[in-house]
Amino acid sequence: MPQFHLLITRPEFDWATGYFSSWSKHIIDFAKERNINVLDLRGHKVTKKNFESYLVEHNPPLVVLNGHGTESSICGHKNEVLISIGINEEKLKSKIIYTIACKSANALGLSLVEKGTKTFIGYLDDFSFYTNKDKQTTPLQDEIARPCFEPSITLVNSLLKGKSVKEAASNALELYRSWIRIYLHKSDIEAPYILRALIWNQAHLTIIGDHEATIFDNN
Amino acid sequence: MTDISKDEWELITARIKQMPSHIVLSIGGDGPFNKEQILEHIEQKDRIGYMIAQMELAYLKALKNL
Repeated sequence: MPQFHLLITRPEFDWATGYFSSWSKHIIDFAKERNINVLDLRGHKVTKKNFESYLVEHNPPLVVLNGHGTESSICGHKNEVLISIGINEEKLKSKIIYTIACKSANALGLSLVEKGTKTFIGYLDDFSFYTNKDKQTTPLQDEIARPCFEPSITLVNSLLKGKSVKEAASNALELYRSWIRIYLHKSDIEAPYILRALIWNQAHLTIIGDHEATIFDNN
Repeated sequence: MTDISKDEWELITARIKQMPSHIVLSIGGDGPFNKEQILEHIEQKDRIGYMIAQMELAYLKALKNL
């Protein structure tokens, strides 16, 4: 069986990226369990130079981009631009990309697919989440954040199992719906706020490109 | 930005005032915002304020359909 590579970026320079990075541990652990080689670009190492170098050297079929974004770019450490319209889109040719980076499913996602990216999965507006302010140093113990991050983890882990993009997104959306059902009936004072974020993120998750693609297609 | 009526802004403000003090909101690259900071953005009707208002309205609309 060929060795598959997962490239994941995990900048960790502010509150949000700290949470993205911590919750991505569930993706990394799952990939390692399946003997997938994880190219973990983390913290200050999330630079454009390192990112492009990993892409060229390892040609990973799946790229997961945590961090901030705009309609035309996705960023790394301290918002260094990793990928941007008109700059280096061809580096992601034939890949499946999942990103939590805000709004990047707009112009950037469309442009990447036009330039040869197989599938872009991302958000049409800002990814939002509530957290417990006392859990900044222990995000994985933050039960308020959990419902917003688990669908992301499920989506990527479904891809790692060999599911198609369509199936992976469907699994994530089903988990969103499941958490929404749970929090509709919870009396916790945080419940209505968690629901706001779940409903928002669920509505803005989108797929551009080949819905039937899997990480095994090119191997 | 989406047109939000005066009544809707008032409704949004009233609802945000009920937000518990131990939670904060991250929106994309912005935040985290506590209740007081969210109310300031709502009051100023700036980019963050509009974003939070849109989330609130989407939530209310979704509740009708759930």
